Amino acid sequence: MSTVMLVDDSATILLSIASILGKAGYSVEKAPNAEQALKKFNDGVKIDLLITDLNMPGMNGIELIKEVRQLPSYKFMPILFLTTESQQSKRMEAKAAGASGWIVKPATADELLNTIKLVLR
Amino acid sequence: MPIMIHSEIVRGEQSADGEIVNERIAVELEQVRLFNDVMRGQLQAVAEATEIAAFRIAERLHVLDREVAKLESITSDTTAPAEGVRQCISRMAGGLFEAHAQIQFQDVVRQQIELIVQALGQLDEHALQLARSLRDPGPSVAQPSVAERLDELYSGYVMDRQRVAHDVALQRETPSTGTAPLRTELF
Repeated sequence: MSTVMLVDDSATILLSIASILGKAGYSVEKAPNAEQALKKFNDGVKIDLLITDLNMPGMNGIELIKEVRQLPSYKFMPILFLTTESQQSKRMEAKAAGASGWIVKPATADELLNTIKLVLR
Repeated sequence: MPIMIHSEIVRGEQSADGEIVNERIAVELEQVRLFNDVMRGQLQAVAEATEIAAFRIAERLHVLDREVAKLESITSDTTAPAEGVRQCISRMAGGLFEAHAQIQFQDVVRQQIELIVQALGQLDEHALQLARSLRDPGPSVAQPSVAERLDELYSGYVMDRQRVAHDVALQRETPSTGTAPLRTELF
């Protein structure tokens, strides 16, 4: 079973997306901000995929993935952004920082799960 | 560009009548600021209310998820569950899946409202500076113009729908970025 780390400052998003992932057979680690997520990564929690929001109070999603990519264990882990932002320039910034893909909110369950399957293949 | 109109007014020689007019305008601006405060509070309350409601719905959906999972488990243990029951459970599970996804609307709405609240805060600051200038015609301090504040607001948008609504309100074309960005993209 793959473990997905979900990072979003919205408790509703965390709960609803975690429910979708759980139902689809994934184990889910949740973090309400980038700092808590980074702590889990630093603690060496086994994570197969990171899904993060872009705009969050404190450290944003791009800053988070730059930090995560510095950690040897997560250098090649797939990283997806799940965000309301759709601007191409932001996507390119995320790609340069090491993101694997981009999903615009609100995403359907199919969009989300199909993309996850693709990056975990 | 700094605010020129009021700066010109306050720099000029003023009669007693002019001072009275300035004072009246300053008082009116303070009333506008009060109105602005109320609107900001109302919008913030809407954002909070939708957040609470969406979270409660998500919680209920989560409970229903578990019940459906139990039903799936029960029917899988039964040697010959009625096909109709199985189909019904499958439809419920599918509906719950999509309902969970739809809850994301709240996060979208919250961010839109929060930006409006922030913009009203800028309008408030603008009115405050204008009222101060009218009351105290000393050396004017350059303040961002409304156009500059609008540009700043635009740069803070996180969604295309915000940019389009802004451009429509100002009756201008939204800058084209070629083809519409995909909702899902792998790099």
